[in-house]
Amino acid sequence: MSDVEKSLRTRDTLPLSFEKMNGVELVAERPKWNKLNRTFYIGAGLVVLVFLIAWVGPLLLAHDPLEQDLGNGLQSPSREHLLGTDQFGRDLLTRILCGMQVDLQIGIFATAYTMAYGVAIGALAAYYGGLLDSLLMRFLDILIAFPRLVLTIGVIAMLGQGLINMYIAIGIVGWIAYARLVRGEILVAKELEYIEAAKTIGARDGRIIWRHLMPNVLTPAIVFAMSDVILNILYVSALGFLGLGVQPPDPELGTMIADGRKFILNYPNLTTFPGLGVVAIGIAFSVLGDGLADYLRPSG
Amino acid sequence: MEVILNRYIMRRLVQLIPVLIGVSLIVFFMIRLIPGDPADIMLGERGTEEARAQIRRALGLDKPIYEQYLIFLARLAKGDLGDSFVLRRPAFPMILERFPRTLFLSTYGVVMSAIVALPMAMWSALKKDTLADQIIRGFVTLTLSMPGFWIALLLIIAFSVKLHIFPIAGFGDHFTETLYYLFLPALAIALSGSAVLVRNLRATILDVLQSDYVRTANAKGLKSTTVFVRHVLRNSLISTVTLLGLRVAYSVGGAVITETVFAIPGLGRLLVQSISARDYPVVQAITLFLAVLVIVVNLMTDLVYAFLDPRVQYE
Repeated sequence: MSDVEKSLRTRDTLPLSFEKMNGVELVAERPKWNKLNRTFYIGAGLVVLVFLIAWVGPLLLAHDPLEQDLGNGLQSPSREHLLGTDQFGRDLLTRILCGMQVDLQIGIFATAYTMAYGVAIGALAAYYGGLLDSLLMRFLDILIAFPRLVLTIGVIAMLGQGLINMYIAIGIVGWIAYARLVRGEILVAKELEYIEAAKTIGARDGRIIWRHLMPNVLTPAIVFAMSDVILNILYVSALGFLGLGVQPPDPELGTMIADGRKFILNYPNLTTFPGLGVVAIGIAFSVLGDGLADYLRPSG
Repeated sequence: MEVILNRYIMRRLVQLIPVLIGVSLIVFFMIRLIPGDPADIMLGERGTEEARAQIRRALGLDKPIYEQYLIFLARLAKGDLGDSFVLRRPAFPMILERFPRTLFLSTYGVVMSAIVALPMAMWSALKKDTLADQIIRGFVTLTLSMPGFWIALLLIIAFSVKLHIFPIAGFGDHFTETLYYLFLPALAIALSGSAVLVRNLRATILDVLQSDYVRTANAKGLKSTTVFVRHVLRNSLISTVTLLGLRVAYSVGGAVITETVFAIPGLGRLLVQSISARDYPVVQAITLFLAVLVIVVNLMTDLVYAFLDPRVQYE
């Protein structure tokens, strides 16, 4: 690597919140690192805890989430079944924890792949501009005209139910926010001196986008991804609730809430407890997202 | 000024044309996502060869794809969104019958969101970083993590099953009865929708509080309530008013959930029922109708915003 490029790389990776340049105070207030990090650490801890509960919990409980025991249906909480049983005699707590596994997996996977191609599309459109960018923006105008949930369930209605079709339906609209975020950031960043300098020394487009632009523009996308995980899990559970998502007998929180609804008059627990599973995941990722946003924000 | 505004409106209308064409294309291709022969899937086992041929003709499946699309567009222009396979009647009148209920529920929900969100946002902004602010922000985080249908079911358990104050489902026959019947559904919309409003309004109020004109107003010695109502609130509400418009469009989409939970015979419930019945033309028609609705609401919101905020450039 040439010296010029080395120095450019250093510039690229300068900490975002450097406080003094040429003796001028750039940041009015020194970031309170302990406080900033505290939210992040609490959030990260909560996310780890949610994962532990979802994956280790069922091992400790030693009930099968699918095995029916019709003689033991709709039992109240007891030592054997801490939250009672559902109408088929299955342990409710075990099913909720396994349902959290399912929702977490789908939520995180859906977020990861929509983010990957959303970021790529946004970056390419913004960097090359011109016709590609105009086409992308017009296409986005069209897609955002549809209420997201309506388009998602419309596509699933056509394709048929099932996990793969749910991923396809979520994937059709899920990338839009990432493409817009990254596009906006790159439109600004590509005009900056260090990009011009990288071009001058002959860096190829791929290298400029991947090594120079991406590290500087990904922050908002990563912060958004935390709330997008929650959003996707809410979607997955809503699809399950409408009978269009994960199909019974597999435990999924939304599907379980829909099932429990039939017994809402006498056994409201079957509705309330699975919802708490969604809320627990949501809170953990919100706090982590807030912490990340504080931590990565340029000026504290 | 008026000329500029008119030109702005004209330009926005012209910009809509490609969007409308794109929306019609997506909706047109939606029904072609059905794996296999749509006629087979739509009819299932009840189909005779004659009925299959009729569906293929109705969808124009025997013609080349561009011709099929042109026929689809020509029908749209006449307000023909296809016929329901189940009820054997045109889909558009079915939508128009149900839509007022959905619109009523959404508007009710959004008005209630504003009632819930305004005081919370003002309190939270004015008492920034105090315990009250923390509690309100915690509440916002909590509601953002709750599935809307679950909030609705919790309200049913609390107010209908336990306390017997509100009915569990239904729509009511006249205005006041409808207000009563739809109270819980609207509250469910308000609880899940107010979080976005509170966050937005809180941030805007904090922004405006920092502005020069508020400092000037304070320096002039105006009473703090006068400064808040006349300068801070008025300017903060501009963006909230437009957000409220968008919320109506958004909650019409969200009505799919609320209407299913409370068994309200609106557009969202029709959509879910049509999906279960594999009534594809109705699914297609509702999707198109809602997309056009969102486009119209977005346009109106932009125009209201331009009208309210003199700083908006029409270029």
